[in-house]
Amino acid sequence: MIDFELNESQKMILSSLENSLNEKFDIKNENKKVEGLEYSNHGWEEIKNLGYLGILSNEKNGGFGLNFFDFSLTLENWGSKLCDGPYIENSIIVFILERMKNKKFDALIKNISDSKIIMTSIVSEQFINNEKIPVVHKKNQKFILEGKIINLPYLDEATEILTLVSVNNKKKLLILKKQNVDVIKENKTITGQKLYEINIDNLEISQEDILENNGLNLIDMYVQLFTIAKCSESVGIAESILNMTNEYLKNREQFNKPLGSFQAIQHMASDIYISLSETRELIRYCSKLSIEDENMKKFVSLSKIKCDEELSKIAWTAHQLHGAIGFTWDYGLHLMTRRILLNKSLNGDFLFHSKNQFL
Amino acid sequence: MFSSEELNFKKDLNSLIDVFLPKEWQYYPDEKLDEHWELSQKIKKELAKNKWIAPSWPTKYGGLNQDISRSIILSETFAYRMSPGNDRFGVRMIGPTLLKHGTEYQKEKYLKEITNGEIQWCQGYSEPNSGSDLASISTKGEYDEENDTITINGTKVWTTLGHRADRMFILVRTLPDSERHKGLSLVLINMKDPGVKVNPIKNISGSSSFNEVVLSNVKTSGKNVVGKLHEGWMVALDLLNFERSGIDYIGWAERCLDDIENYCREKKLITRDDIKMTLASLRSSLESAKIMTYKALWIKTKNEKIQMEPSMSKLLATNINIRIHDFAFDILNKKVTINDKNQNEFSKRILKNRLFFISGGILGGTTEIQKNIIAQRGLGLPK
Repeated sequence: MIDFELNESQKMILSSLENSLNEKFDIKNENKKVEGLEYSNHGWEEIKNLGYLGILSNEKNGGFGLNFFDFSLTLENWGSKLCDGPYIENSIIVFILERMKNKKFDALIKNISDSKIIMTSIVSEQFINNEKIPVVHKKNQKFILEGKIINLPYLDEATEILTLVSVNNKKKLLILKKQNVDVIKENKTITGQKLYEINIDNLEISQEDILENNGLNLIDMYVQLFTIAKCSESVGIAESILNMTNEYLKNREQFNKPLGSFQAIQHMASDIYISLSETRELIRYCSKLSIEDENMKKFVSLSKIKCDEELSKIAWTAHQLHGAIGFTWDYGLHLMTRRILLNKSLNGDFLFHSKNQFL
Repeated sequence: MFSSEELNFKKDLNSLIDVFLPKEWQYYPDEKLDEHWELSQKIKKELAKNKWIAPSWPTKYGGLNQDISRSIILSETFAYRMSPGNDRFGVRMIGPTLLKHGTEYQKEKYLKEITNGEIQWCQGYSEPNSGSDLASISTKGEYDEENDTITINGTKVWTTLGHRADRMFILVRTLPDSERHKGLSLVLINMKDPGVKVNPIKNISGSSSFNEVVLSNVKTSGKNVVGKLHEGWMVALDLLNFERSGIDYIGWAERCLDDIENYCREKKLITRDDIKMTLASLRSSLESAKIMTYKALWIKTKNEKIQMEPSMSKLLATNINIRIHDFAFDILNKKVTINDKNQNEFSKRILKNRLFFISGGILGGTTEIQKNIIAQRGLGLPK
């Protein structure tokens, strides 16, 4: 049965998060971040304090016990306020740990939900781009980890790192304490987000730190969920582009009329609205699919393709509609364009996702 | 998206179509051809036996009182199979309008005719001088209060199935000196009545599915006004919203994409990265347009004021249908454009449909009109 209605609890999730974030959104602060004058992980403290890191964990583990679609709705909100921080990473790690149904992870899940442990990760990029990953050797009955991780985000916020490692030439997930790694390089993305290159040198690890699959394809699960979650975030960002543009078109006058009264302009604004609506619906549909659904992988790729095709088009159209003011640093439209472009560059390109349709 | 019961309904529909449609059916239904029209009537009768013509309508009017999912499956399946027999004008246009605005007399008489699969409707909206500017129509409907009749004079154009139709829902100006949206009425007439002359118009694909309809002193009863007399504009717009969804285009587009993808596999073109990328991009846009179409149809059942969802879904569905047919055209290339003895039915179909589907962005309100609606009603931009 077809039903597009959001239920009362979903509407509540959206409005409560929106109210909390609304007061905090300030483009000027975001601007400083891009300039590198001041780092701001906007929205992150609110998400932690409101307990949202446990959104996908069971109530007995201190979470909200909500489903992935509910989570994706919060991401639209999170994206629309240009929030930044490892919200997606932690939520998906919790989701996967819950799926493993192993009591030994209960404490970890609870600690993440309570934001006592904060994870960061770059697993999706490591996997999709087939990056060189740290290797686990067995030396004198001990497990030794060596290697590098590149472009790791949110290290400042994190206490632990989830990474791909190679164990006997097989890729596995491993949880690593931040204090055990050395930062060797710091980069910045086009949005001002810090990325780190870290080195792991002769680190003794416990076999317990390696997440065993137990019949689940954990890596694939993480990559699929992370990809679709970032798409939901991008939809939110595009929504803020639409709102900003619409407001401008209503208020800016040229030829003694509001810009938005000209048909050529109206049609471009409609294009933005249509692109955003169709992208949002496809991503919401995909977020409702069960991770075990045989079509999940295909739909994640179709969603990512749609997201990349439409949202960058939305950004360019919005700039065109703004004219020169949208080209300025202070106006702030570029912040959203940068976020859209950054997200587009993550989680596999057009060809990668096209190939997923023909596996 | 659909329950297992609903998917079983789809299987049953396909089985029904299998009985009537030749195995290698490759044609978009062209009701000008007697063979297609007869097939259409047979299939409609069979649907009627199962009460499948309008499954979401109330049982007392011949429906099954089921939710919109079955109607979606019905339209999409018929389009995918390119099967005749799916009644757009009765079931999806005047039917829902009567359910919303009609009198009990109208519902009892006309809805039952539709669900019995007996009657073909057509639409009398556009005129030679009134296309996108529908509110400028000049066809007159003179109301005689004493005899409670309306006498209609004027010309309607682009009337699909006018040559086959038994009845027409027609927008006429009933207040003689009224302007624009005021003084219009939506009226039901009998196409077999004296004074109705249907002149076929040949379209660019070579068929004559639409017509000019000249009306000279055509009379109908006052009981056949839908909604209030002189206040038909909002009723007419509601009907347009029922018309718009793009669900047929989704079925046609998906069939073409599946067929051309299979062709690319057969010819080993699928190994090329550019082909993979184009096919994936088309599939992605088809899936998003499909969900938008479902949403537009679902919204119509919610009794809320319909805003821009039908406009968006119609636009997206017609666009992706053209994009997919363009791609198929590019892949088949000269197999489509050079009419030699090797030209197969698939190539002929791609050419004919590519030409015919140009109409998608024009009929039922052009793409540009849909964008106006979205900008003004959706985004609140000033007129």
